[in-house]
Amino acid sequence: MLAVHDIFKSYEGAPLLRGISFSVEQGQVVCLLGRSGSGKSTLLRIIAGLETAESGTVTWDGQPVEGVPVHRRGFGLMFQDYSLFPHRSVAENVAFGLRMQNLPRAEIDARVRDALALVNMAGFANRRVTDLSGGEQQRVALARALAPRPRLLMLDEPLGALDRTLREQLIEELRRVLHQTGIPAIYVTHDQEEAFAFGDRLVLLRDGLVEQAGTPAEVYNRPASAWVARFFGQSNLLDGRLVALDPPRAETALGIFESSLPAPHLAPGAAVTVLLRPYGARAACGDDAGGGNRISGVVDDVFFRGDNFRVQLRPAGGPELTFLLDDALPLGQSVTLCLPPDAVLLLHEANTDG
Amino acid sequence: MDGDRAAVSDEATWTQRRGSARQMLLLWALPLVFLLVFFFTPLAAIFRVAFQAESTGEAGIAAAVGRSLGFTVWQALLSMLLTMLAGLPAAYLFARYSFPGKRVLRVLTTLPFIMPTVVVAAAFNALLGPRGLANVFLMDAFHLQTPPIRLLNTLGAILLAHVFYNTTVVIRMVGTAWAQLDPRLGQAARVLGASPARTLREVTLPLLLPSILSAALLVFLFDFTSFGVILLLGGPRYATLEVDIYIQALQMLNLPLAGVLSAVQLACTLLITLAYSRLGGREVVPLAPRLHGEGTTRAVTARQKLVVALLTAGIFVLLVSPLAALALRSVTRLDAERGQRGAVNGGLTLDYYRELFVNRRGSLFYVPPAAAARNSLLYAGSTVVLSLGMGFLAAYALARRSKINRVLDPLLMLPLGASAVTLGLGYIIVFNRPPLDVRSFPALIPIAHSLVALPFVVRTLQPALASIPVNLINAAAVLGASPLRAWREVELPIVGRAAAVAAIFSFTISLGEFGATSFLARPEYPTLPIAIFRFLSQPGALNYGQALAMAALLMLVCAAAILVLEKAQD
Repeated sequence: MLAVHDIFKSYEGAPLLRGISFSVEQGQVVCLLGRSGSGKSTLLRIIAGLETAESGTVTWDGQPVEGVPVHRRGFGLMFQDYSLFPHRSVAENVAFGLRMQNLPRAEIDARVRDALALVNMAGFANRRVTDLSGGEQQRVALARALAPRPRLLMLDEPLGALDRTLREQLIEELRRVLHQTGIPAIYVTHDQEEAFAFGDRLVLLRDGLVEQAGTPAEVYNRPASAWVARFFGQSNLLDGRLVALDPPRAETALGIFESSLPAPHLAPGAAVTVLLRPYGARAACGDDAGGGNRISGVVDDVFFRGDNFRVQLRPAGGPELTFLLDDALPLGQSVTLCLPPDAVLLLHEANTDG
Repeated sequence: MDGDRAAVSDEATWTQRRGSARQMLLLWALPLVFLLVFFFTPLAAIFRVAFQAESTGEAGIAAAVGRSLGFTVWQALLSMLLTMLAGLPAAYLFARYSFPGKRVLRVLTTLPFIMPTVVVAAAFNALLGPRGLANVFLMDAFHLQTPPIRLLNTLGAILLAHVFYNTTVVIRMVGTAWAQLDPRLGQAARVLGASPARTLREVTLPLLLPSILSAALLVFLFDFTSFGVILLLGGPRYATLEVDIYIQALQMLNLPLAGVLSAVQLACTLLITLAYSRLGGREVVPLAPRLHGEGTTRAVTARQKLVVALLTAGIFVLLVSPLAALALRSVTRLDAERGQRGAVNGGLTLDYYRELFVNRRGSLFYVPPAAAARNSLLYAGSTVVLSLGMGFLAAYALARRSKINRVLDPLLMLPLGASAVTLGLGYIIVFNRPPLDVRSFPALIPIAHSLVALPFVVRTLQPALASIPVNLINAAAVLGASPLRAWREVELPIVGRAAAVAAIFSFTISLGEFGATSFLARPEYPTLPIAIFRFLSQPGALNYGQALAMAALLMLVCAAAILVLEKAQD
């Protein structure tokens, strides 16, 4: 439905978006994920028509939308700070987009009621928006964006301004509303938890480029680069050098590590980052493990997390590593852990895939 | 709970000294006596004269007042509407676009507002008058016998000058509100399907309404009380209340009618001022964008560039060209008024400036312009001393915590609402009786000027004084400074900037003041504005040239003052 192709945009002379492409299909929620300042909001504003790209195209069902003025695009946009009209009541805010479509009075009233009911704000119709709390404003903004039934809904950090507890509560509600309406949506956030909760697909932005795109599980489990792994909070990373390709093996200061997963775009001798997943390590190594995928160190810290134990290991000559194990290990003792090859990933620093 | 309250009041004493009754009396005494003698007494006298006139039921008074009031309201309404029409697009330009030269243009738009009325009148005369640049050029180009543009002495001239004067008010008030309006509100409307025009109508304008109404009311007040512009550009046919007061008092010698007119005028300005302060107190929604300059964009598309270019050109033609014409015309020699068509042996000359120092007529009653300038400077200097003296006392009193301030503060601001002409008339009624003669008492001029300047001075000094923490003074005392020494070494340097700003304010106000001065100045001791007025009303190219030269000098001084002020407030 929506296709964004090769968008370039610079801000005050510095490139902000350097060739972004992605698409949104019917009924799909696409999450644009990236650090603040990565140009996510600008991308939304370009799609909405509030800003123009220096090059690239935005199409809807194959038709370019460039030249269609903002108010005729039929895209909804929920602003980060909600931008509710302070001179209008809750109901008047929600009715605004409907009045722009010149709908009959009765239908506007009915749809405003429905939209407010959808976001659990039915009793607030006649309140002033300036009297609402942050969470209430957020719901009104959502109702206002949904009421005109846009063909695409864009949400710019919709939960960014709210505190943690309220955010968790609203994540549930917003998920329900998005799925109930079935409107294709683009959800912009810098928070991976939100991205996982909403996105049918994730598009991860880095320095104005798409670093990786895919389902949340794909992006998390198969990061395309060390940068992606780090973005999702993976900390067991070792510098190494690729020594063999089939199966891929890398040499590090802590020994040789072998992966059962392919390492595309890497040639022997190339510098790689070795990602050790925290799950799956075993304290008792069989004889079959050969010389590789073993890691020795002193147990620095152990605590019980409910499902498993979190073990901090300090290997000689390497960074501190974290593993999640079924059994506790004795504190202060030297141990050796074995990793299955599917817990090892060999990654390039940046994704050269584009 | 009690502990909390004690803590709060403790904190308050750290930031604001409590004034003892004795201190407050000492500080307030002089400013109050000053107001009583030189403001309230003249006003009371005017009301007394007016009531006497009413009770004697002099024929025609009601009709005369009605005629005056009607025209005053009519021209003020028209002027206000036209000013809004010119000012709103300009406010939009300043609020929403960043473009090269914006800072300079902003300062240029401020110039008209601070120009003395006689300068404005002279400027329009230099541009559009019978001997103005536009007419001279057109007559020369098309070989015309008579000036094609006949704007002077028409309602059009009055309206044009008022628009010129007050467009700045709209640009500053509405422009500031517009710049602070979150641009995302408009964008939200656009995304929801509103066209640009509909966004303006449904979102932008309603949110700007408080500032638009405030600006409109203030402009209306200025147009309502306008005096010099109407006297100088409107000619004898157009008399507003202010001009009528002047004519009745000084030319018809009909003091009762002048008194009634003044009373009506006072009541009207009081009403408008009241409405204005009511409006200012209305709840304003939070509009500030989070990032500075977020709402402004560079003009990118051809359409945007055209908008910026057209608006900038419009501002130049309306606000800059008259002043530029004044400067240019004051150094241009033209002999066209002799009647020989096309004898415009143009060329630049400083003759008019040189003539300012020559007493060509050798007449005893003739006052050379240089002397008028000297008078003006003398009065302006006295005004600075007097208004800053009173202003400092009042500002010190207001910076202390005391209940009496709540009553006296608005009292101090009252001179803002009274017109200068009314003040001048009041002085004549009160002080012009044996053994006193207002014209032998030249100190009345700087006193009147000080009253006009006092509200500005106090409003400039008071925040600066209030911002000095008491602990700073205490620290100086603990370190061994006597109270006087502490004041000189700690307070004065801090309020010095505010005092300089206040001094410049009162200096330029005095230099340009025309309304009250026209009542009080002795013929042989005119001020610059009075001299310009006289020279403009006399025939002859030399008189005209000298009037323009004086006006140009006055403009230069005022422009320099506003530049210093802009710098000081950065």
